[in-house]
Amino acid sequence: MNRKSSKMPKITQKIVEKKTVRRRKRSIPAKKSSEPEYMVQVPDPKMVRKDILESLREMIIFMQSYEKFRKIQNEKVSALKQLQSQVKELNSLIDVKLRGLLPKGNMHAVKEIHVVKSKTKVPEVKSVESEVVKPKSELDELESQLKDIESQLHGLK
Amino acid sequence: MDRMPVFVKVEEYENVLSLVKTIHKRLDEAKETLQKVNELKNEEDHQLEIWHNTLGEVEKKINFITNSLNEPQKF
Repeated sequence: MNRKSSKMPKITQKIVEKKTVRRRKRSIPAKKSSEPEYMVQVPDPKMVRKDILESLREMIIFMQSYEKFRKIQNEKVSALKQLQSQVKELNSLIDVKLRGLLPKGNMHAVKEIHVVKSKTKVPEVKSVESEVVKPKSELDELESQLKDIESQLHGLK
Repeated sequence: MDRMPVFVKVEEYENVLSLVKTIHKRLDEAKETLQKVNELKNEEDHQLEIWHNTLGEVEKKINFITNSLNEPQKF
């Protein structure tokens, strides 16, 4: 019993110390301004309070939906990538395999040149300029392929 | 010369048929993906419209608060 009684006061002292520390932190006096304090009456305070809360709620909903929006965007990007690869595959299937398997048409080279020359001269100049300015990219290659196919189509007509 | 008949080897003809089948399959897949992209775009547009409306509502409320703070009640 004696031992217990000797220990007890120490514990209580510690608790008291902790409590006093907390009180000290809380009891920091606020700076008093030297200017006089004026009051402004807010008309319709209930409505103002309600509007603030509703605005806050809507902003939170907005932020939540932003996450959803980002998810949709990511899905769209992945779907677009998938579409790009599918179109590339289709292009290779049609351009390489199918054209390779089918017999080549007997195109008239002279006609093709005539068709190309009969077109307006301005775009040709533009294409030459663009070739000079930019290095050949995938887009340029596709453009040249397109021109080639178009000329072949004109030849068929 | 233009109306001369064109012949294809039977083996190649079969290959062409199977290839055309594959192309059809790939086309359907691409169509489905495009449809998915379109749906996602519509979802995005819908979401943007909702945001537009929400911001409009919040703006109205903030304007009301600003007005009531700028025009205190007179006695």
